Amino acid sequence: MNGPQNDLQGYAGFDPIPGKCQPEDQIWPEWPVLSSRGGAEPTPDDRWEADMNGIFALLSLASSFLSEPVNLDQQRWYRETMHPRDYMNMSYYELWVVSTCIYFDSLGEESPITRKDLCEHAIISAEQLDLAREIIERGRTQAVPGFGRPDENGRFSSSVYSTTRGTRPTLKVGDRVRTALQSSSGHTRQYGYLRGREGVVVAVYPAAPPDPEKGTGQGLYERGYPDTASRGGDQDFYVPLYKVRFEAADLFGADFVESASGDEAEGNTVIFADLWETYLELVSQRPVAIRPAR
Amino acid sequence: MKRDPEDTPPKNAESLSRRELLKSGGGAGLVGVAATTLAGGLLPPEEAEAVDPDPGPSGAVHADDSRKDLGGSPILDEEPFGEANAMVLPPLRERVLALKNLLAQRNVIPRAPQSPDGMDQVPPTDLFVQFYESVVGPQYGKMVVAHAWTNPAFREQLLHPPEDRPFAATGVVAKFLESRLRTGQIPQAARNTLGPEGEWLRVVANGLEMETGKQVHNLVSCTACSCYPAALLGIQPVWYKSRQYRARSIGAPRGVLREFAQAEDEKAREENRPAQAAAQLEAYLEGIDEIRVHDSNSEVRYLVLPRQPKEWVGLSEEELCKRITRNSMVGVAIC
Repeated sequence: MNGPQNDLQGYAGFDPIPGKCQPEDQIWPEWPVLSSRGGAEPTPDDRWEADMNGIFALLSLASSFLSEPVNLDQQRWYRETMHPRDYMNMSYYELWVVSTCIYFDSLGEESPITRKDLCEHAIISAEQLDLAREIIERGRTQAVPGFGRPDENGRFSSSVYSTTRGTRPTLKVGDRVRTALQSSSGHTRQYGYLRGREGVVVAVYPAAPPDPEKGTGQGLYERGYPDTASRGGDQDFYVPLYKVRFEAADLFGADFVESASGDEAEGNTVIFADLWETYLELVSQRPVAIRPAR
Repeated sequence: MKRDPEDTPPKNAESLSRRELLKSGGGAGLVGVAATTLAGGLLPPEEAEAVDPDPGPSGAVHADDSRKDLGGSPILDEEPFGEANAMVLPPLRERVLALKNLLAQRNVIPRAPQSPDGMDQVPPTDLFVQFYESVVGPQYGKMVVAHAWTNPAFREQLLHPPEDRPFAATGVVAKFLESRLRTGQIPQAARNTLGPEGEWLRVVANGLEMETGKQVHNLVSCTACSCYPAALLGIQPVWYKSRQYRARSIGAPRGVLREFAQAEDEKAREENRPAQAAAQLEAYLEGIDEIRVHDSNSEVRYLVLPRQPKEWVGLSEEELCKRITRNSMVGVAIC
């Protein structure tokens, strides 16, 4: 989703980072850390962040009987489907509260909790749900990199990528790549600052569905492409993932990384991002060392 | 902990504007908003006096009211969708409690089981809470780092997985933690800890990189949300989730490191300890050829192996674990 929801990198004018000295044994930190304006020991009822974590964990397990079980990529999208100002003013777990409400609202008649319930209990406002619906509807008709637009039922198709097996990666370590351009209300993990930039592939992560017999920890990437998965409807396409290296000057401009001060970017900095094959286009292959002729 | 599922706090907020709610006292959680409003002079003095300034016995200011700390605008005090549709939601803890009770009433999440004496037992959400509070945490990351510092072969396995199994480090770490489980250094409850937020692990090391001859420093961030190697480091600290960190860590990692060192020094001065962090950091940065920032924008999770200080060479893994900090394993501090 275009906006601060997806692309906070480089926003200037913020104040110092809060809670830098948060003790390691302080688990649910937000309110006591933020108690620069006076605070006290938390009571059990103040552990609402903990409760929200527990609710989400249980919901992930308990929603499997619904036609649209909770899906992490979709939840991440629903944490973005709001007014940018509201996004900026919400705490981390408040976004979880809102995304959970949006999830139940999106289930419609099937939902065990209706929008009326949610609004009557003042868990969320009807206006917020209306706006989220609008954004989600729009997002469901928009294109995603590598797949184009979905059909009228919101389903994506591909002649290259599959939801049941992995695809052989087409890029190699050392290849120079340019990142795609995109713009939508949908969810993507290609942030604004990573669009239309050149970098170099430094690692290849082939993707494949999880193998229930072997379990995780086998060394392959086993998650679906977030851009399609977040739209719901069990659309986990297994798209190869790459680790790409970007020079700070290529992202922020050479003139702006030479001297670091305040909000400016810095030189001698490289940025690594994990980008799906659909976000990347080959610029030039890895230069092959030429052996001297005998 | 006994909680009545019917005990959803009564809500009558829909008809109240923010101003009316402020005037009526509005519940403890809104005191923060009231304080901000008063400080900004947005209410005329006579109305200001009508606001109950008593923050309650705990004096608590809640996160949901702390817009400025969260990266929101400290001066914004408008209704979210205009005065006509104004609706003020209660404090977050009440909203979460209401959601929890609603989910339990509709049997979406299990209710607290009843014990024979009719008392509610621990509700299932609390079991998860207990797991996060007492089982996961940065201690596992520390054990991995200490072991990597003292065992070159283990370190090598973590840093250089085979090309066709790029996340082999996950299996290496799982096996290592399993061995600590057998010796009782890790509680049995942590058996499945290396699950969520740790399935696809990449370990990166600070210090001299043999392949390039460069001195490197690694720092981990997540621009869009707050993806974090929770399996090894526990629940994210508030600074990692902050918009301030997410805005600056990618482009200006040295500035972030300096800010952390200064905060550390301030704290040290308050506690009458020598303030050395900023000076140590500058000396460290002098020798660094390249800072590498990892934006955790996939499900891949990054653990930083900090550079081991010379004075710590020869210490046991147990002693090392006492000295390693969480922040150093995210790369916002040095050891």
